[in-house]
Amino acid sequence: MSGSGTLAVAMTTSRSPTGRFMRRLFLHPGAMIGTIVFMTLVFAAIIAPFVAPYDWTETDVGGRLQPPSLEFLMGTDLHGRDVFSRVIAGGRYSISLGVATICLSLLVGSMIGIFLGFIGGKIDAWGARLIDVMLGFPPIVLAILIVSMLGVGLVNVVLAVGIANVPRFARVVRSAVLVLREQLYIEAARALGASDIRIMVRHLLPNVMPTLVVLGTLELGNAILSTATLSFLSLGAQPPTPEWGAMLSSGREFMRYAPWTMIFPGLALFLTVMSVNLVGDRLSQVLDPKSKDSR
Amino acid sequence: MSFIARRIMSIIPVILFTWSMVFIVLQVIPGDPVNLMLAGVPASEEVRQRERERLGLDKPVVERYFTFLGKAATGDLGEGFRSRRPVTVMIQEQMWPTIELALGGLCFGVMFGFVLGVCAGIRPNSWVDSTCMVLALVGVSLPSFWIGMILIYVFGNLLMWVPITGRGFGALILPSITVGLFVAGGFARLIRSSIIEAMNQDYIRTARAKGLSRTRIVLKHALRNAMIPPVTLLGIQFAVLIGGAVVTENVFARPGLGTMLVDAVLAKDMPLVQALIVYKTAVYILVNLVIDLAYGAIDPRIRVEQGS
Amino acid sequence: MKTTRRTVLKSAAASLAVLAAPNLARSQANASNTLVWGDDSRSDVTFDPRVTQSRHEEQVIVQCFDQLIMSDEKSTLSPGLATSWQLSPDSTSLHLKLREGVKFHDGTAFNAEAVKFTLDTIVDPKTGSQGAVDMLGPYDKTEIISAHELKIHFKAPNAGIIDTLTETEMSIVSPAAVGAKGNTGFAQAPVGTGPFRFVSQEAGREVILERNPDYNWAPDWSTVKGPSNIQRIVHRYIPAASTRVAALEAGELHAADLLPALDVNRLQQSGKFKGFIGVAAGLSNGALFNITRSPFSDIRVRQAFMHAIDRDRVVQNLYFGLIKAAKGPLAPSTPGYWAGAAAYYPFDRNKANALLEEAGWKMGPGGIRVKDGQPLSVFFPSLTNPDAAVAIQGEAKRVGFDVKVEIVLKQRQDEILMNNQYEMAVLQWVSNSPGILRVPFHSSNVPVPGKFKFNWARVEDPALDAMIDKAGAARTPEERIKLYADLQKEIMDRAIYMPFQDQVQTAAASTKLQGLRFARGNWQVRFHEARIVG
Repeated sequence: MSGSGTLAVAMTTSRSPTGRFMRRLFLHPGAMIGTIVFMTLVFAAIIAPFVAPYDWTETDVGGRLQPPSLEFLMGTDLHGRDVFSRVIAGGRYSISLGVATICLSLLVGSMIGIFLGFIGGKIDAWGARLIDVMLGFPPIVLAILIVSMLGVGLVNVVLAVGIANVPRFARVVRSAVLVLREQLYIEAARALGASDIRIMVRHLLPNVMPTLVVLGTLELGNAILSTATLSFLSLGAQPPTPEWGAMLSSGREFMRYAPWTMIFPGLALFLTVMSVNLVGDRLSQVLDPKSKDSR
Repeated sequence: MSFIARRIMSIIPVILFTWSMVFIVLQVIPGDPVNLMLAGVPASEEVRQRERERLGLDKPVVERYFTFLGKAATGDLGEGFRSRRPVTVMIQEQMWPTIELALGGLCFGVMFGFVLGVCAGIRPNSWVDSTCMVLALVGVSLPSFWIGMILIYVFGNLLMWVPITGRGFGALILPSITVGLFVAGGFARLIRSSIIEAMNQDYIRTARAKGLSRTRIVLKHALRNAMIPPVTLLGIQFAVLIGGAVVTENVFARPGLGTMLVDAVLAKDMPLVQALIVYKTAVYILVNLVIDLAYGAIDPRIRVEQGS
Repeated sequence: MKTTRRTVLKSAAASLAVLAAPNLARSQANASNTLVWGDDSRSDVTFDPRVTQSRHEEQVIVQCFDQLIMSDEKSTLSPGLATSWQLSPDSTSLHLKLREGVKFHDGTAFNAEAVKFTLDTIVDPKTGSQGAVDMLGPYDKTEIISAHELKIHFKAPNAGIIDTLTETEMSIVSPAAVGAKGNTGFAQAPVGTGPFRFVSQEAGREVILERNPDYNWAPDWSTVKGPSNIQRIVHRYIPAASTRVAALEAGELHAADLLPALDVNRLQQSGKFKGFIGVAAGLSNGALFNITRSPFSDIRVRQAFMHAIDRDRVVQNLYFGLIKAAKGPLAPSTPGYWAGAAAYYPFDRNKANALLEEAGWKMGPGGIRVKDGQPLSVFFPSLTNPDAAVAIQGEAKRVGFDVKVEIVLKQRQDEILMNNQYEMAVLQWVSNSPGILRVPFHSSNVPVPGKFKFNWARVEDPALDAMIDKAGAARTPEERIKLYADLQKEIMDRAIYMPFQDQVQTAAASTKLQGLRFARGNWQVRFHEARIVG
């Protein structure tokens, strides 16, 4: 149908498969805007020490709860800190926390998924059952359980959200492996006497990679949201860290008088998640063989 | 019938397993439940020791595990540490506000999601489709604590359209929208792809060839067959929501099972945590069972036995 | 029974009626003699005064119960359920005559038996008292002389007992109701002799109280002698402060507690609301310095820290002028407060710097002082009020302290405190007795692993212990005040405690609601004298 048709057209117009893939991915307004916005936020976070007009932890650089002005683009907070500087710097924490979380979930989730899918049998059946049950908990509740076990702090937030998302990753990877396992080349490798570990690492892992990339991108937005949520519930970032969730939480009380302390960090968080989701969305369309999208 | 009975019976080992896991985790979590319960109270050491004895915390872990298990087998899940009341009663009390919010959230979610999904699905790849899908993405990208606060600020404080506290229909609107926005994103997407798929089926082509209007076809024929994936999603969302929506409850200061669980965990109120986990697990499995059964109702071609 | 369509309809109608009932209650909330109060608690779990230690729960308890001796917010004592009291010269027994004609809400008569029952069950381990049992101290037994006369005996002198009996925790409960409902049932449906009776509650939502029409035993200082003008109280749980404010402005509430300072100021300016501000009695909010660990083992560093922080300005900034900096370990509203503490450790950055230099801490890189290669760094776990911690952090940095703030969960705080892993920690407590000083400063209260206690300064000094013990065992009220003043001076001299801010109840009420009065301790609000006008 149209999917294979597109593929055929694309194949004739592009020289390398990577180039073709990139073109399909980014010659899409959503993905393009998403990438640009995300890169801008990341770049701003990286060069924050040079572009932020003020030290983001310095108190009393302006009066407290000053409205946005030319001097303080996004106003000041209760302690007279510059909200603009804090929002820029906030990306350093919020974005890297999300990425670290996803890496952790990917690592552990794919290990479990590949193991279960490959080993099969009773262990797999029970493992799958357990994963299903774990999926019944909202990851945020699971994460709160874990934070209460480990204590408050950014590293613990990464561990908590990372572990809480493992079941989702494990499930997807497991079902991908189940399909792959039956394929000829795995059978061939086995016939050639390859060890289980070797088959898992050398043959299964590379083949689930594309799935992992899509999943990772799709879940990155969620991960950023979850880590920010924990900080919002005062279970994450420690003062004076300018994490967006924590800023929202402290801005909440002054919402009526200084809405800027709440609006801007939230907007930054929303834009980050939205841009990541735009890219992830397109990525999954491009990589999904069933995709009916012909652009 | 035996299928359903078998499915329900199979819940028991799962619950026993989760229950035991949670018991172990609660032993590992640092903190003495008595100190946590008494919070900042300058109660004397004698009072603290008495409380430990009253709660049976002075007994060895293994003994406690089996006492607890024995009681649970007879249906007695124990009393909350601080409240000193049966945990089953405490859960029942919080059940209604939770269900209320779950249903409200689903209503808004389905409403938004349906409109977006159908608009997008009827004309795939048009600008309408793109716009709808971007809006659906906005729904899942909005931090619920942020949009919740903004809704309160705009509709509660500035416009004063809805009550902020208390209960009843009015006070349910904003929290439901907050939950609904999130639900809508995934729902819209599934509706869209299901419709596109259904539109490509032969019988729809036939219907179109007969000259029926596109909207009419979608609403009368395509939708019915396109409903299975979205209904599954809704079922799972409902199962999760009925366990409590922590953040929304927090922002709107609503009672609910999510908040109750978080508080219980932070206070190490062991019987309450255990009971809530059992409840959540059971509800999740049961809702999944109901979804499987619902497949049969939506599409008679699927027999229940295949639903597992 | 055969199920017909009609019976189904009937039961449907009945369940609809049940559903509609709460709405009925809500519409009555708008009636002119119903008072709606917004409380910052999420949900209360026990209304048994013998058990609770929660100031939220006491907001309900204070309406439903009377004490033997009643105190107003200025510590003016009045006969309550007891008409006269006589402490023996050695303070080991108290002779009480009880009021006659008082009835509990369940119709049973109040008498000496009820007092004996209340006190005996407080010390009974089965009750599981968390507060009252400590307050009652060396309680021995109650001797009933006649139906309305009794004597309470103590195992040791208890000069503070008259103050103690005014506490909400010492409310007298109905023995018949406890007998009928059991302790657990009573905690959910308490029965006392107070101006309001407990009607119903809905967990996490609200509690409904109704006026006690028989009430005519109000304390002397009460302006309303008989039943209250308020017919009904709706005590609604609204944990988010901003939501309480919004609900107050929307007219959904008549009054609410613990509002943000900025909001109280604005509400007052609107002219439609009146702030109702009380400095809570007890330990003020302040930081205890851990004297067993460097750098606060050096008294000069502790003094420097206090001189470094402009507490007046910081507190003014944080609370927009509504809350004042604290001036001593006890709040001014506590009986036995020593005003001399206010002169200690005024803001003086130069002096702070000089003290640190003298102690050998030299200015190092990044504005942080160092000594023997160690930075002047202090770990400050903070359970509540991150804003105050951030402000202290910022001020201390200006003289070279590196304050590491960690916002902690309760269990993490417990671990840190029990295992001596901190340099400073904040404590506060509402209490009507200077005896509360024992809690953070007596050596028997130093936390050790497994035992959570409150001497976070970790001061273990027989001399200080002796002062605390002596003040606690004072035989006359005058001697008691003198001994507690000495104790407060000693605490300030030792520089182990930095008073930070008053603990303030920042309630606000619609101007239509008049006649509010704080209970003793300036935290709970009494509604007996309230009325709604206009």
